[in-house]
Formats: sequence, C-alpha cells, structure tokens
Amino acid sequence: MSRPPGPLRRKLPNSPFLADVGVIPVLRAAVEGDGDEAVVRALVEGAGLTLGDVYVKRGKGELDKKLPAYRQASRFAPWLVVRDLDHDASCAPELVRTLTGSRDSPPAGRFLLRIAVREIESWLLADREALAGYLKVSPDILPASPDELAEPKTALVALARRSRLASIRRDMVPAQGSSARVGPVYNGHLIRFATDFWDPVRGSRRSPSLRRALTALRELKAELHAG
Amino acid sequence: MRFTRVRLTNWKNFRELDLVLARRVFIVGPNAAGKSNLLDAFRFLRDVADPEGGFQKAVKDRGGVSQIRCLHARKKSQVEVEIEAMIDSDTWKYRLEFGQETRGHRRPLIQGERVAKNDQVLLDRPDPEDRADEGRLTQTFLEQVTTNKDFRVLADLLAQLRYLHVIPQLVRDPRRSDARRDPYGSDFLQQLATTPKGTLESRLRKINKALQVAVPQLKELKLERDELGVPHLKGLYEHWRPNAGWQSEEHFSDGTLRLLGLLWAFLDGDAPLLLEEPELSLHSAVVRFIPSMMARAGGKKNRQILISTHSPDLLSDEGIGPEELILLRPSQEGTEATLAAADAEIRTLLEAGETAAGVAAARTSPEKAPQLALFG
Repeated sequence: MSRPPGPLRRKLPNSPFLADVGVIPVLRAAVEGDGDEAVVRALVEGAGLTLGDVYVKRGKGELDKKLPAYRQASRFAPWLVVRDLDHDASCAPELVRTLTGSRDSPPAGRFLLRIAVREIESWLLADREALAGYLKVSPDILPASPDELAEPKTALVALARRSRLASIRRDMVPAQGSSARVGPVYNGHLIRFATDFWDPVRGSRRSPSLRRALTALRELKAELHAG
Repeated sequence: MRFTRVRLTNWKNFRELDLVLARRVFIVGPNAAGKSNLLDAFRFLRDVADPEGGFQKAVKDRGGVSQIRCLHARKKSQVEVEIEAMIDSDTWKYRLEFGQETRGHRRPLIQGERVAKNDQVLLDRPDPEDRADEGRLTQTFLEQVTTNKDFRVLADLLAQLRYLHVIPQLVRDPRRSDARRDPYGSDFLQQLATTPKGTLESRLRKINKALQVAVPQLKELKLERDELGVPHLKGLYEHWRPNAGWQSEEHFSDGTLRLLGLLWAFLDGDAPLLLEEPELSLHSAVVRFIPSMMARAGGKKNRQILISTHSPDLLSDEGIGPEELILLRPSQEGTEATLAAADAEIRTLLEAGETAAGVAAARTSPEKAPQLALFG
C-alpha cells in the first residue's frame, strides 16, 4: 500500500525504556553517520519495529572496526547495521563476506548487516515522488534505478542544483570553487527529508537493496512476534 | 576514604537512583540530563556537614525543598540522600530524609537521619526527643560537633569534599567558585609557595610524571623566588626549539597552566574530588589524557574522583572500565542512571571493542534533532 507524497509527520520515537518492558525487544542500530541514522530510523519505523540505541560512527572505517562488538551484543537485542557499498566490492554479498569473514563465528543472536547500493542516498532517490516534491524538481529527471548509479550522492547534489528553490541550491550544492562533495547544509536536508517525507515502502519499488533491507526487517518483526 | 555507593530518591531529576561507585567514576549524559545534579547530591552532603553551613543553609542555597524535590516524585514525596563510604577499613552509611513543614514557616524539616558503622546503627532519628521538640528537626546531627562525636570521621570526610568546575570565567574570577581555594586563579602560585618544601617537591614530581603523558617536552618543574621574594614556577623544556631550557610560568601555555592546577587540586587533599566537565577548559588533545594523568598522579594514594563529562575525547581512553561508567538518560520518569557494568549488553559491547564514548553517545541520545532545528 503506498501513501500519497507529502509530509508524513512521524511521531517522535517512544522512550526505549518503555518499549524495553514490552514483549517485542527494541532494535539497536549502527550506522556510518548522522544522515544514515535518520534514514535508518525511518526505515525501521516503516517496517513496524521500534528503534532504541543507535551507534552513530564517524565513517565506515570506524563502523567496520566495531562490527564484531555489535555481533556479540546481538545476544541481548536484535541489531541492524547499515553500510554503504561504495566501491569497496562489486556487489553487496561480496562486501558482506569481506566484512564478516568466513572464519568469524556466527553472530550471537539476530543480527542484520544491510548494504545500501551504492550509497544510502539511492534509498532516498528511490522515493521519487517525495524527493521531487522536496527538492522542487520535476520527477522525470530522477533516476529510474538508483541502485545502478555509480555515485548516488553526487546524483542527489546534481538534482538539488536544478531545484527551483534558491535555499535548496544554496544549502545542498557546494559553493563555486569549493572542492567539497556536498553543500554546507546537505546533511541537514537529508535528515529532514528522511525524517518527515521519505517513505521506505514506496522507495522499495525502485531500489532492490532497499527492498531487501525492508523485507529482512519485516521478517525479523515476524520472528520476534512469533516468539 | 571513598564513596562506595549512592542512593537517591526524589533528588532533582532522579526519582530513584542506586549506584555502586568505583575509585574513578565518569558520569556521562546529554545536556540537562542531570550530570551536575548527581554531583550536587554529594556537594549537598558536604554543605550539610560543613560547620559553617548546615542543613538549613544547604537547602536554602539550592532554592528550597521545592527546587530539590523531583518533579517526577510520586506519593512518597520526601527527598532521600544516602551514601556508603569506606574510611580506613570501616564501612559507613549516612542517610538523610527530609521534606518541608506543611504549615507555619514551611521550614525544611528532617524526617529521618541515620548513621551506621559496619552495619551497627549509631544514630536513628527522629528519636523521642525530636518528636517532643520539632525544632530539633531543623538541624542534622551531622553538622553539630556536639552530636556527631561518634561519627566525626564521616562528617570530616564529607566536609572535605572538593568540587571543581573550571569554566573560564572562574579562572578570571575565582570568587565565583565554591572551592575554598581556587587552584586556577591568581592564588595558585601562592598556594605552591606556602606548601611545605617536602610536600611541594613530592607533588611537583608527581605532577611532572603525569604531565609526561600530555606535555612530554616538559622535563622538570620547580618553584623559585625572584629577588623580591615572589614565587615563580619554572619548567625545564627539552626540545629542538631555540627556547628550550628553564622557562617561568608566563611562558607556559594556558592549557598547561590549567592542567597543572587540575593535577595540583587532585594531589591536594584526600577526600573525594568532584570534577565537572574538565574538557571545557582544556585542549581536546590533552583532555584525552586526563584519565591516565589522574591515575599516574594519584599513585598509591589513589584518591577517588567523580568526573562529569560529555567529551568523547575524555571517554576515548580504553582504560575506562564498565564499572567506572555511569550513563544518564532522560525519560518520562525522570533521568535514569545506569552503571555500565550492570548492563550485560553494554558490558559486552565494551569488552568486544566499542568505546565508552561510543556507548555514551548511543545510550544518551535517544532522540537527536539538533540539525532539524535548523529549519525551525
């Protein structure tokens, strides 16, 4: 069932403490950065689960190093780790193998490592209707298959450059002469969009990596409900 | 002497709190979660035990019972503060329960005061005399020399607690600090100069040893008087720069001076030290070394130190164990305080390579919206 584009105005998450006493354990998550956190919150909520602690790292290097710790901790609560594929492997399964290693002991409990192909921005680009509305651009210029983009972040900035809103262009596009990849308030907009407008269910129609992540979370939810 | 446990009921934003305390304690949490309020429970007992202060003043200085009592308090609305302490090899307990007169002057009134030494009860109020004369319940036995004879060591320990909050304004205006002597103000050198020679040299040696971690080029510290008798702290610098050699304090960086003051305060006294957000006044590269410097400077004496912080740098020290980490998180029921060691999940994360800083950040910020604020 798809919802119409426009602000969804999610309610604030419940206190993890209150949720902890419920039957369904609260999910923990670990992500590469602040923007990823907002996307993962919306994703988990879209799957009907409650998110508690989120470990927000400074980049994938730091995240990768802590993976063994999170696998261990999944003994106490289910865990979700989301990481960009970037160009670290040719496909997601290969990266998962590299990151978890064949010699590594299996995770202690329910542990999901989901890879965004190739960057988490492709998950946002996949909700065309909402993103076009947010950026004030025509939906026709959004990519049909964002998972096939080599640089989804660059693609998102390129779209912002064509925005009818000067504030979007100023905030999200690097100033002339700047060698930064994104504009000064890029992350702020990414968080705002992910939190208030993005619908992962709608997005999962165009991004296979998002669809698989959503399916895995729904299966996790079913498992948790089953006991 | 050190605190081994603290229990609070209806104290400011803690409805219920019960924590075992290690030699070193790091209190972490988001702004306004109650880091200062937790330290303030200890300061409150110090103010009560202070012969020049006392219970009435301690409550009044905090804006009265209504300002102290937790907003989340339920039926049982009295405030309770209880500590356990180890002095020499004795275990002491002190418990104070209080509220407010329901009529008349609405004075702060003691509802219970108990002292135990090695589980033997030395004091249990209210006693029959208290019931006959309610005026007696406006003062603790702890604060009165005529009544605290049996537990004077405990009263002394509490009265000697040291609290430091080194915000830059305090450095410039020491009068605003409640520390009796401010090691960061202009009297720091005078303090050094009035310390007996043997003690001074031993402390400077310890400080120097600790500083090696953060300021390795500073090889030696000594105190000298100039022709006018004014004391100067001199440091021997060894490095490739042309200004190597003995330098006096005006050439030390601000950060080095503050660090010296911090370490001096740590060595000056035996009672526990409460240190609020030391990162505010120091360079992040130095903040990282505070835990290890404290450990080195403390040496055998190993003074207890309770530090409130939200500095990831300070918490990145891998030597911080789960039994030393207190995590505060606001909830609808007031702030929850958890000892990391008491939470199996956090213990596992720390053992498997996550840092105290990482756990603190995830545990203490359930809702993060600072960036959203950009958009009104």
